Parts: sequence; structure tokens; C-alpha cells
Amino acid sequence: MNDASPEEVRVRVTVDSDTPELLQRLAGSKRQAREIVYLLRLGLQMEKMLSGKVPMVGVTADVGVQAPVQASNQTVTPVAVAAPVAVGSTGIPSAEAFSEMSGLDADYFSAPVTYQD
Amino acid sequence: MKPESPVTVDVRAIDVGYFSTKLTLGRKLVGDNSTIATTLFPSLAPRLPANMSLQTALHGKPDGSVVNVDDVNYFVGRDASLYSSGREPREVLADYSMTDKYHALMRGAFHYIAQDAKAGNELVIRHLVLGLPLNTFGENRDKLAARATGEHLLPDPANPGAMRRVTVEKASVIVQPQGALVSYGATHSQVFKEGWVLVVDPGGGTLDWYVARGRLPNWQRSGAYPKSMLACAYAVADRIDPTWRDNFEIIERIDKAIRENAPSFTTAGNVYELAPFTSGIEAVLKESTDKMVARLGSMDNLDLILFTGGGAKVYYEFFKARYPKLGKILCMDEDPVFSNVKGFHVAGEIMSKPKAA
Repeated sequence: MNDASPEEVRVRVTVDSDTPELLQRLAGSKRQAREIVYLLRLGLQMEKMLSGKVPMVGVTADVGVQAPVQASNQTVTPVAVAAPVAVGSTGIPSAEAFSEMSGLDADYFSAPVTYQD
Repeated sequence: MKPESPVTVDVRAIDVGYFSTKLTLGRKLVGDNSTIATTLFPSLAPRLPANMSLQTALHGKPDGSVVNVDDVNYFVGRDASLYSSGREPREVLADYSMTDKYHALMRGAFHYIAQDAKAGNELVIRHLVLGLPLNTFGENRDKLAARATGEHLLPDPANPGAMRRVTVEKASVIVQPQGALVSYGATHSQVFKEGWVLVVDPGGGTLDWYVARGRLPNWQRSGAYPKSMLACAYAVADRIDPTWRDNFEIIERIDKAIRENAPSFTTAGNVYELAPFTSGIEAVLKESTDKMVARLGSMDNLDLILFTGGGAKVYYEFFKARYPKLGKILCMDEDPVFSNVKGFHVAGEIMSKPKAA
């Protein structure tokens, strides 16, 4: 990265719409490039942990790690998990993606229940 | 002292069961996958003596929290058994969600949500999702949502003597097995498009079942019956020593042995074979399954039967042996313990989405 001039470096960042805090954080940041690089470094760090290349310091679960995305008013801190986390083998799509592929919307859950025992 | 800013989380979900309370901790990245982190603690809420101070109760930093419900202090969390008198009956009650114990367990879940979010003395949950069995849904949905919404005070672990405020801005309650179906649908979205699906959800207290075709539920064929895994464990305990019903640890050992199809369980140094009690367990399975089948009417038009919940494997095996011709459409949930609560979480995210103009 030392010899990469800004004209030659393009980073495309995709922000999940289910993490509006991240969007706000990046949009409101004075130094967006630094913020993105920091998040990328955290991502690489997690990848190394998950692939067993570095020890999972501070992680109590077998495979669970806390994402580098914190609540809106928190600072990004090194990976740490307070409680055991169970993680499925596959990811769960974001609400938008899920709605799109399943056709479910809020009405599905709030529809009147006409059940009689 | 400068007041701390509240930590805000968007969606969280809690599934308060008879054996354990499951909760979500938000989305986490695992590799390239966005998944929903979960955790659980036993559904025990031992009442603390009235003269025990918070400082005394929390001395030694036990894993959990003291919660106050109607001026009574309970200890809830992973170390709850340390505060138990040894007698913690788990009765299956129609209004379980309205009991102080349920409320205490829900507040125990708030403790773990706050801990995970690294909240200080103030946490805001924008949208909380809970679930109820179908047989109590109509009666208790609004009451439970109202009870969950608003402010809840818990001890602040970082400041002994101070309290932490958890504010739930909005609470929704959905039908329990819908959660499992949504979780399953995350990787099998066709279940919401075509065919008849039956979700069988044997929890600790109730056997729930939910029938839907595509996105349309059939309430006439869906239902719940208040006998499930706890009744199986009681069927064994009653034959050996009926007072064991009130001993949660022995009941849990029996339940574990049944769920894992173990040949025996051990308590007080004595080994008890399960084989002599098989008929009692099967009687419970038959009774609850018969209720479900009677309500379902014909099962021949079903396209998928999904087994979820803590007793999924037990009911799956029983069903497979009893209805062999349905074998091709029986399916075991990959994550039966947490699939309901993960589905509640996804439901909360979908309900929280801004509506398209």
C-alpha cells in the first residue's frame, strides 16, 4: 500500500442495509478512507482467527466472533465476545434479501390469527 | 458525573421456554456469512430471600443478574442453580407468559443483551420480538407485548448499587413455530411459495404445530397441546420418585437422556435404565401426536414436515416409525434449539423495515 497512489487504488465497499449504523458511521466520518481501512483490517484479523492462523484471543465460543460493527454510539473495539455464541453453518440473508426471495413482509407476522381451540 | 449515552440496538428476540431461555445478540459476521448470534440460559428464576441485598446476591460476580418483578427479587442467568433451593417446579401453565417467572426470565435475557452490546447504564432495544404457542396466542399476545414494552431496571454490573435501564421501544409477539419456518426459509425460500408445510415444534411445555401453504397459514389445522418433553420426563420421574418433579436438575438429566436416546441416566450415584420407562414416554408421545393428527385431518396432502424445537429428534423418530409412508417428506431442523428465536429476529427485521412508499 505504501507505493499505491490514490488514483490507482479503488476500493468498492458494500454495506448491508441491515447495518444502518455502519452506513451512518461511514457517511459521518471525517476520514472515510481511514475508517474503511480499519474495518478491512478487522475483517482480515477475523479471517485469520477463523482459519486458525492466529489464536482467538478473547473469544469464548467455538467459532463465534463479534462483528466489527458496534451500536451507533460506540467505538470500534478489538474482537471480544462476552457470551457463548452458537453459529449456524450457513448465513442468514438480510431482511431485504429475505423478503425479496421469500415474498414475506410485515403483514405475514401481524395478520390476524383466527385460531380456536 | 457525565451521563453515559444510551447504547441502541435495532432488533433483538427472546424465546422463553420451560427448559431454557434463548435470545439473539444481533447479526455477526462469520467468514463471509452474516448470521444471527444466539445464546441461552436455563429457565430458572429462584426467588431471593427478602432480606438479601443486591450486593450480597451479586457478590463474586455470578453469571446472571438479579431482577425485580413486583417487589420480589429473582436471580436469573447461567448461575441460577447456585441460588436455587433445590425445588424449582416447572409446571406447564396456560398463562406462563403472564407469570412473574416469565417476566424475570425476559429481564434476564435483557441482561445478556446489554452485556453483549457493551451497554453502560442505558440500553435501548428498538424492536423486541417474542413468541407464544398458538393455544395462548390470541389471549396473551397484546398483554405480553404491553408488558415487554417500556423501561426495565436491572443492576448495573459495572457500578455496584447503581441500576441499568433497558428500554424496549416496541415489542411484537408472533406464533412460535413461525420462527422456525422463517429460519428454515432462509435457506429454503421455496417453502413460502408452494406446497403444504407442517412445522412440528415440541418444546419443553407444549407441542406446537403450524400448517401453511406458501405464505398463507391454515389456523384450523394448526394448534398446540400442553404435553411435550417435560411430560415425557415426568412420566419417568413419577415411576421412580414423584418428588423428582420439583427437582429441576434431575428432570433435566432425564430429559437429556430421552433426547439423546441414552440407555440410562445417573442421579445420586444411582444408574437408572430408561428401557423400563419407554412405554410411559411413548404414551406421552402418542397422546400429543394423536391430538395433532386429529386436528390436522389428513396428512396426505402435506409436502414437507419440519421438526424443530428441543424435542425435535424424539418426535421425528417417533413420527417416522409411526407414519412410515411420510418418511420422504420428514425433515429435521439443522438448529432446532435456536431456529425459533432466529426466526423471531428475522421477523423483527422485516417488521422494522420502512414501508415502501
